[in-house]
Amino acid sequence: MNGPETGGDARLPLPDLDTTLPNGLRVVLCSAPVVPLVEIRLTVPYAATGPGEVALRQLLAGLLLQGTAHRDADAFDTALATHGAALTAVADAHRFTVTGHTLADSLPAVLALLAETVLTPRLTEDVVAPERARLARRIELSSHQPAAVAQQALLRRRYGDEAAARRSPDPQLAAACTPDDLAELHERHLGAAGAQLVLVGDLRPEDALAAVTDVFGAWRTGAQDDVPQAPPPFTGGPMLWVDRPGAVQSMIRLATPALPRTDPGYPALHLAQLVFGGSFASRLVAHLREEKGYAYQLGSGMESLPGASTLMIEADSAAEHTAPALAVIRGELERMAAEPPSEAEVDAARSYATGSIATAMSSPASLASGLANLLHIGVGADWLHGWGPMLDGVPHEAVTEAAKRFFRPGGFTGVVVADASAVAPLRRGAGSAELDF
Amino acid sequence: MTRNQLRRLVLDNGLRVLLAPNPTGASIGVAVHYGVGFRTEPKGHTGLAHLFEHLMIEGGHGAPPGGYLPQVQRAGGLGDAKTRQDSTVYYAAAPASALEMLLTLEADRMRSPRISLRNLRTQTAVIDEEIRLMVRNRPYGAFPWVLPRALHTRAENARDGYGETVDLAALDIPLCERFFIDHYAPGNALVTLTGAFDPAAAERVVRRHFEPLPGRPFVTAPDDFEPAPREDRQLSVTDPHAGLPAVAVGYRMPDPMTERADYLAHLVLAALLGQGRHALLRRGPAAPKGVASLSVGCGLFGLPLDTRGPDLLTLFAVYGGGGDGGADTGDSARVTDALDTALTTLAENGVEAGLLRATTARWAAGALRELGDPGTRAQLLGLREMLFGEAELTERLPELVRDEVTAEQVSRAAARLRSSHRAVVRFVPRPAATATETETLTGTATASGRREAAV
Repeated sequence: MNGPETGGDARLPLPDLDTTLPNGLRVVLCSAPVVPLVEIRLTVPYAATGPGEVALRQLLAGLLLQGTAHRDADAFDTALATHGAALTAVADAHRFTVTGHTLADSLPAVLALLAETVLTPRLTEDVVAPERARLARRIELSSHQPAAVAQQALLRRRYGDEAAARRSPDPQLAAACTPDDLAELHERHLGAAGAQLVLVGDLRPEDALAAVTDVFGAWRTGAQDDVPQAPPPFTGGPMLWVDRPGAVQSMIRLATPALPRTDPGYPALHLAQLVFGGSFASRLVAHLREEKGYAYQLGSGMESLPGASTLMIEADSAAEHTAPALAVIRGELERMAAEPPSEAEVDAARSYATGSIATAMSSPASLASGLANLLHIGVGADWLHGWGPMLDGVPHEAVTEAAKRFFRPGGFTGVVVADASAVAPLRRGAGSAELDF
Repeated sequence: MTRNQLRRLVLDNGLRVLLAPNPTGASIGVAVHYGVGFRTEPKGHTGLAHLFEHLMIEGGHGAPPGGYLPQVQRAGGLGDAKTRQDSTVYYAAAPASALEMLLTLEADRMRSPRISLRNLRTQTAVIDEEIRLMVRNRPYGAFPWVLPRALHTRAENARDGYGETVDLAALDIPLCERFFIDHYAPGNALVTLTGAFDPAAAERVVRRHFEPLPGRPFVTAPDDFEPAPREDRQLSVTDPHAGLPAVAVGYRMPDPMTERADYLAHLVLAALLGQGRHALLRRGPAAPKGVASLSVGCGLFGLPLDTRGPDLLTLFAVYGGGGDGGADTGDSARVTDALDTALTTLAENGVEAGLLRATTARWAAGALRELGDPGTRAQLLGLREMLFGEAELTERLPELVRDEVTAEQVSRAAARLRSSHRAVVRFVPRPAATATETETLTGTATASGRREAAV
C-alpha cells in the first residue's frame, strides 16, 4: 500500500494515551497540534427501554449546558465562551454526547466546567419549563424535514412500530417530565461506567490526563448494566410508501442488516459497499447520477451501532424519475452477484478506503469524532491505525462473497417518501402502501 | 501558534500560486479558484457558472476514464467544487503523496476540460435534482435567496447560483466553450496548496505542470456596485413544506474593502445576537418567545468575506408551535421587535465588556477551528487571496475579531443596522393540498437558490 498513487503512507496516529479511571471513565488522548485548540467528545452510553423515552434523554441533554448547581445558564455559558469554548449536548437512543472544543490553554478550566454540568446539572423548574417547550418545538420542526420523515419511516419499517418507538422521541412524555424525574434520570443514566472522553488537539497527554482525573475522578460510577442493546435483526420485504403530498422529489431509503464493525468479515463487506455505491466511482453513482442524471445526492453506506450495522442505500429523485431510479438501484444490486467486483474495482475501493479515512481524519475535529464513534460501537482506539493493514489482508474472493451475500434485492426493505403520483406505477394495488421493487 | 509562512508566485501566464505549508500531519489541501461566479454570468445565461462547474469537475482530456473524482478517490483523496458570487473553487484534500497527481489533474482541466453534449444534458438533469433537494422539496428552501432578491436591485446581485429554468434549458456547448475561454484563463486563476509539503519541491511541481499553459486574455468580473436600499421591503412567501411559520431578515453589510473595520464589527454584532446560548436573541426578557430555531450570520452562505459585491447580514427564525401559547399566529413581529430592541439597546447602552470578550473569544476559536482541516484551509486562504489579495486575512481573522473590534464599533454597527433599510420576509405555512405557485417571490424562484452550491 505504498507509492504515489495509493495514499497508503497516510497512516493515522495511534492515540497517545488510552486509559480507564477507577470509576470506569475511559480517557483517550491524542496530540494533534494543528491549531491551538483541543476537541472534546464525551459519550455516555445507555439502554433506552421504553417507547418515547428518548425525549426524556433529549430533555436532560438540553438541560446539561444550562447552568449547574453553582451558576446559572448565563454565567455558565459566558464562562465557557471566555475560553473560546463551545459545547453542545445531544441524546439519541443509545447515548448522550457532549461535543465541543476549547482554546488549548484553557483545557483544564473547560474540563472543570464540563464536569460541573455533567455531575451537577441545574434541574430546577425555572430551567426545565422553557427547555420542555423548546424540545417540543424542535421535534415538531424536524417532523417537517423530509430527511427526518424518511428516517423515522425507515426505522418503523425495519423494526416495527414498537421497537421504532424506543428510538423515537415522544414530546408528550417530555411534557410531563418533572425536575424530580430528571434528577432520577440523571442519577440512573449519567454515570462514569462505560463513558468515554476523547480529547484531540494541541495537548500534552500527561497534563490533560491530570486535568481529567482532577475533575472527573470523583464522578460516581453509576449503573454497570446500563449499556446499549444491539437492535434486533430485521428482514427484507417490500418497500413502503409514505405519502408526502406536494413533494417534488422522492426520498428513497433501503436497508439490509450487515456485519458489526467488530466482525472479521466487515472489511470485505465495506469494500463491496464502496464498489456498489460508497464512492463517486461506484457503480450506482456512475449509473444513477453520471449516466442518467436521476439524482444529485445518493449512495450507499454503513450505519454502525453497538453490536450491529446496517447497509443503507439512499437516493433522492424527482417525482417523475422515482420508478426508473428504483429500477436502476435494483439492477445494480442484482449485478453485484451477476458481475461481482473485479480486481480493479476492489483495488480502487481499497486505496480509497485506506487513504480517504486518513484524509478525512486529518483535522482534529474529525479525528475526535471518529475516535468517539469507534469507541462507542465497541472497537479499540487503534482501529483507525489498523484499518489499512486490515483492508490489505482482504482477499478478492471475500469481497465477491460479500457482494453475493449482502446485496440481494430481497434482503432489503425500505421506504419511499413521495407524492402519490411518484409511486403510482409501483403500488401493489389500491389501498396498499407496499411497492414493487 | 506560529503563523504559517505564506509564499506567493506568479507564473508568466498570469497564474497565481499560494503556498501555505503546515508540516503537522500527513495530508495536503489543494484549492483552485477561478475569478468567476454567478454574479459574473452574462445576462440571459443565469446558472451557467454553476453548470460549468458541474462539467469542469469531470476533469480534462488527459484524465483517465471516469474522470477527476474517481482518480482523486483512488489516491485516498476527497474532492468537490463550489460556485459562489465571485469565485468558483475546485478543491481536494488527500494524502501528501498525491500532490503531483492532483496538480496534474488541475492543470489538465485548466488546459482543456472534457465537455460533451451528453454530459451537458446529464448534468442539467443532476442540477434539476439538486434544486429540488436544496430548494423546492424542503421547508424554507427559499431562504436565503429571497433576501438578495428583496434587497438588491441589480440583477447580478439579486440572482442565485442556480439560474432560471429557461436559461438552463437554453445552455449549449458553444456557450460553455465561450465561458471557458472568457473566464478560465490561467491569469484568472489561483492555485493554493496547504498542509504537509516542501515548498521548494511543490514550486517545481507547480511550474512543471502549469507553466506550459499559454496565457490568454480573460473577461474580468464587472463592478456590480449598487447603493444601499432606500426603503424597507416586506414580503411573504407561502411555503407548502413548512410546518411552522418563519421569518427572514436581511440587511446590507458594510463594504468589505472600504469599510473593513465596520464589516468586522458586524461579524461581532451578528454573534452577539445569535451565537450560543447567551446570545441576546436567545435569552433574557427581550428574547422572542416561542422560537424553535434561530440563526444570525454574515454572508449569503454563512461565510463572511466571500464576495466583493454587496453582502448581507441575515437572520432566520422559525417560531410558533410547542404548545406554549405562541403557536402559529403568523406574528413575525415578536422576532423583529426583539431584534429592534436588542439593536437599540446595543446602540444606546453599548455592550458590556465581559460579554464582548466572551463573544469574540468564542467566534475566534470557531474560525481557528476551520483552519485545522487542510482542505478547508486551502479554500479559505485562496478565497480571500482571490477576492482581496489578502490570504493573510483568513489567518488573521480570529485575532482581528478578538483583539481589535471595540465595544464602540459594535454600538455603531447596531445603530447603523437600526437605521438602515432592511428586507423582512415571512414564511407562511400552507397545507400542500392547496399548494399552488405562490404570489410573491417564489413565483420566479422555482429553479432558484441553494445554501451550498457543491457538486
